[in-house]
Amino acid sequence: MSNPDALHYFLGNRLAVCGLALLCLLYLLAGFTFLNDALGHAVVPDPDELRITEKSVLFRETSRRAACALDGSALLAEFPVLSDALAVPGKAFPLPFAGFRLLRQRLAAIGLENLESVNSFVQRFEVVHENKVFELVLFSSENQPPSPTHLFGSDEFGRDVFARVLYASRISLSVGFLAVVIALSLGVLLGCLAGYYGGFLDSVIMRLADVWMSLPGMMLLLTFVALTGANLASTILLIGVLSWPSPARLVRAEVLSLRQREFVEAAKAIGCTQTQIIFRHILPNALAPIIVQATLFLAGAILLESGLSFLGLGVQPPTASWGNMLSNGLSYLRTSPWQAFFPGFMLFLTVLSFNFVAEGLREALDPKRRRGP
Amino acid sequence: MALTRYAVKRLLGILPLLFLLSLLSFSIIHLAPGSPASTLLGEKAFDPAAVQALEERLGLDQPLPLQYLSWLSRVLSGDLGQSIGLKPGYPVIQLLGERVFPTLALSVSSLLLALLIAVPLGVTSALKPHSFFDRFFSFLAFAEFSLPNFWLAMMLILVFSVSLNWLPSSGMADPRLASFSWPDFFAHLLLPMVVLALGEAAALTRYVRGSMLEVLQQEFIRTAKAKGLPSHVVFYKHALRNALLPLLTLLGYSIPGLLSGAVLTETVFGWPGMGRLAVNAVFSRDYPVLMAEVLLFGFLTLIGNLVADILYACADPRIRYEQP
Amino acid sequence: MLINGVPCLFYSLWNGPITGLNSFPRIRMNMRFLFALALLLSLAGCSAPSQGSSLSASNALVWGSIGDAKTLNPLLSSDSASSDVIGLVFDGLIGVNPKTLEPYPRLAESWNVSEDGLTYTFTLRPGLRFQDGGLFSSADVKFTFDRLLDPATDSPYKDAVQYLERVEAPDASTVVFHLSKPDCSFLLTTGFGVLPRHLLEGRNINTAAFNSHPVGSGPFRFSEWKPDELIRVSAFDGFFSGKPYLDEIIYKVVPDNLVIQEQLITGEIDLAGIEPEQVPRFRQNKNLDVYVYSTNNYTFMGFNLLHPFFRDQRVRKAFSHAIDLEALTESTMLGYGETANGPLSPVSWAFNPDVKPPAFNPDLALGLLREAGFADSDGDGVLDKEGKPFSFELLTNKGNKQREKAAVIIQYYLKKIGVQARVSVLEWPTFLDQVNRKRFDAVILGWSLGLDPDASGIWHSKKAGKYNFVSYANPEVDQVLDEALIVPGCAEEKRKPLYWRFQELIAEDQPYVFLFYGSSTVGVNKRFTADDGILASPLGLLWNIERWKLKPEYAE
Repeated sequence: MSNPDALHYFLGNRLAVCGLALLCLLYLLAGFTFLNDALGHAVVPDPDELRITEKSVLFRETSRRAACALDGSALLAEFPVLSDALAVPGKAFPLPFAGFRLLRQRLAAIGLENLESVNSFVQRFEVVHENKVFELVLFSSENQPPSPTHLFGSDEFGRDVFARVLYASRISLSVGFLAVVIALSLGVLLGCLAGYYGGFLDSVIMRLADVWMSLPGMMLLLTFVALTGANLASTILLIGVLSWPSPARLVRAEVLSLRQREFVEAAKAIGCTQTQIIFRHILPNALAPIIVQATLFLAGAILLESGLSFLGLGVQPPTASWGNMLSNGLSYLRTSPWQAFFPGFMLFLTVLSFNFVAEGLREALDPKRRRGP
Repeated sequence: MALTRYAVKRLLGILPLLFLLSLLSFSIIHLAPGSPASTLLGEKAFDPAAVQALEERLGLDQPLPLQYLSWLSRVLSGDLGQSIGLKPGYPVIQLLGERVFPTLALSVSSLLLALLIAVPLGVTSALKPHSFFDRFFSFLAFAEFSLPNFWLAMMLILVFSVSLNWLPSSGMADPRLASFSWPDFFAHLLLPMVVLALGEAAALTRYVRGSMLEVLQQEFIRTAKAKGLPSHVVFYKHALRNALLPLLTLLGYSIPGLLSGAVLTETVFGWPGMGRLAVNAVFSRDYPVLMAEVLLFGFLTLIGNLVADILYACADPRIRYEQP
Repeated sequence: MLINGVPCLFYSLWNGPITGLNSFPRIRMNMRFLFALALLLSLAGCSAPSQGSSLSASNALVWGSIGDAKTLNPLLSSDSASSDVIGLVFDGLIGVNPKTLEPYPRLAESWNVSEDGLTYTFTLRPGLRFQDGGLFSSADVKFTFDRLLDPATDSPYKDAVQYLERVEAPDASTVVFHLSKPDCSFLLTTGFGVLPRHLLEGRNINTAAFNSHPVGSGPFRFSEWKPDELIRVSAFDGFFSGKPYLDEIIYKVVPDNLVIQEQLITGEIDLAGIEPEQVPRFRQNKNLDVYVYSTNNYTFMGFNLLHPFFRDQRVRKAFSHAIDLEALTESTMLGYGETANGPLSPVSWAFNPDVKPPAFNPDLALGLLREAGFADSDGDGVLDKEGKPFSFELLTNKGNKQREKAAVIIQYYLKKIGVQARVSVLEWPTFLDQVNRKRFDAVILGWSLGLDPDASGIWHSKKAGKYNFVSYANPEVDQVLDEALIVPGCAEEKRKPLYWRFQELIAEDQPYVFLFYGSSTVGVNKRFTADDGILASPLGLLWNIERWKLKPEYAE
């Protein structure tokens, strides 16, 4: 149901808009790190060495190496299934990866076809060069305070904190987003069914939810991690799968009250099927609290990940996540506070933005809000 | 009443649900890799023969269904077993029992403090929506629940314990004192209580504010005012009562939380509560303790949800627990 | 999940309260009353004694620890927290002198070993008592070792008595140990804490209530144990060398590392281990002394010798040369450790200083790998052989920062020569599970060594199922180790050349990449001193805990 008035109200809420803008920026930056992986790792070949004369072949080489670089990126190491699909070291031509073709076209369009331009293009992004995340420059730049070379300072290994914070954003943001998607798909579906049909189905689903909420989450996490091996995927999956009871319960409550309303009677009267009633009439009206719930849950999931990192579960070093950077940085709080401050601040800002957006959404979508002239 | 019948049905259903829960949890717990041998034997646990011998003695080498049945029969006769990895030989029921007082002390006091902060703040914010007062405290609330719990705890310790030296930084009592003293206990309780309360208060304030705003917009309030009732009567008798009703539902959902402990806060403050016990039990694979906790927490969750659902139904007669 | 400590409060759009809900009971929230209560509570909190006023006067030592003890039975304890407290409550026949690392008499007055090395006879001091007043006699010693030999006891120390046949107590002050084979490492085993027979006879030692309320014959008597909070022990006036000067020692559990260090500074605790990074800051503190001492342990990177890549000695040697061990040690230990060169630490008398750690030479490393058949055939920066890239998993256990750091640094150096190491940090039970099933490529781990240089448990091929989890088998090493154990009279001069040869052989084979020897950094409040001073040695600081006392200016 389109509601331009709601949108207008939302945009009037300055905090929510700021929050949303910040979040978009963060997601963009996280996405940018993928791009940087591809470019940054492109060890652009020396044409003399390879005796290449054709530009297209040159580009093919570059994209192939970029594809290999993408395989080597830390995030993909966390999703072995994905990396297996994308990894083709040794093959001559890059994958039919639409992104790379597009990239090539775009680069060509802005005239970056020749070697020097590509090189300088890469160098312009030097400051966030992926290598800096894992590059250890021992003894020369450990524990440096923030400076022009290290925007956020460096950690105990000499790694650039700014680069790490940026790469960590991928982890934290994806944990939140994916966990919410999983929890909500399960929760909304089951909640709807429970609320609408009531009776036995309702009892079964709600009792299942009760039992689900009491399951030992940490043991599940440990089992999952051991069985699947990939830490991040297990964490996301587990947080998502464990959390469906709460949204389910809320959706059920909404549906329970909505189904008694007159418009449902009307819909039945004109002969809508059960499915149509649920999905086309009831659910859109119940959507408002679900959206608010989702945003809040996203914030909660990010905080949960940081809590798990503090306890030692969750993403393990050397992969960076805001949570484990924060816990690690706590030991250095007195000597090099920037190690904990920046990831903590980013965490705080992100979760705060989610909360503002949620609040803005809730006010905008509140059906009882007086729509003024 | 339909509601009483519903409540009774739910109460009767708790036992089979607990049974199901115990079955699921038992499987999960035992399927996790590693065994208590790793903590009991320490560095010496690299000897598979020693691990095997220990597991035989503990009965862990038997097939899973058999283990479950023997556990079940022991529990039904009242024996929750003895701890394996945490405190070998120590009765589980004693281990859990010792943690009840610290956990409840912390959770109840922080909840009370949270309510104390949240209700007045939320109500006042609702009475003057979008005023400076409202905006300021809303912002604070948002900022508070965007902070990771353990971070806040650490900051408070650094400020109040280390820099200012006003309060102790961990534990439940000063180890140098020979006997229990209430003022000392409260001094130790204060920081963790505040950390937890702030987190709960932030959410509760928003909740109360929203609820109050809802109520104030209702027509019956306008009617009451139009009737000429003095404003404080309108406020207390009509608005406040109705606004705080959903709060009770929420408190119903919080019942299991009271005894499950706050893991992060307890770890930072060294508070000997159930949360820390749970984490340590997981890391030591202390199966009897974990199963006992699952039972306890499961029981509380089921009861808590039942209470919340009943209160919810009382508050909103539009909800009917029947077929459409 | 309530991980955040906040009960899951979710915003819900309820349907709004209904008018005229008279059926529901009233809730009377008397705000004023509640505010008053809150005020009262906070006042009560403020009236608590502030730090620093009453604490410094008490003659007690507060010892901070991250973990709580699990059991207070010397036969069963396997973690450091339990061992710490057991060391205060129990005592054994002999002790070890920290300066010479030689045994000296404690509960035993004297002992002798028979010519053939099969009989050890100890004479006990007269007049010894347990902390509950019970008499201490040879029957208690016999009881303790009988329980250790008993297969029903879940003791991790069975190895120590593998050659012990039986123990006899011919009279109240004589104990005789009969061995089936000469074992030069046995003497140090007799330092085990002695259990009181009169309290444990006939009970199941694994589950006895004694394990939470121990009675021993050590300098401090068990007083109380508040689980996960503290353990209190008080001075035992019947201790054989006289009542300890300190009245009490309190073992306080503080689960967070940062908080422990801060508590040392505020004075809430008096003794705790500190991180190497914090040492400069603690040295500057006026109230604390910092003690640094090498510990008899080493950290290493172990290869699964059954792995196709690591079976080749050249690959292992290449790794040793590819990693800058000096830089790694410096980075993880910050100057408080030493690069390791082999399986014995410099603390041991059998240490061979002629065996040097492998030099940092990445070119040599690459050369060795090329010899072994590895080359970068596809130009992706990673070496490969027969189409398979050289990529492996490096495991280590959670909770040890030095090992995690070492893992990251090793990953970095290996990446430079084209080897891809994936670091996995697992928690202990999971880690053990994988290692015991041999499902690992390489691990970073550490061994704490006993005072006797015999390291058969780790290196002997017979122990391939045990601590020798890397499956190392070298018949010459086996032979040398076996010989050294049965040297008649256990003369050091005769055993030394054997152990030197042993270290040379290991250096040749490189089944591990030996990383560094450990050291401990401990902070102690300046108020404390001891007769003859507090001595930092590989045995720790507390070998003479019964003679620790407050400095005169702090005593009342």
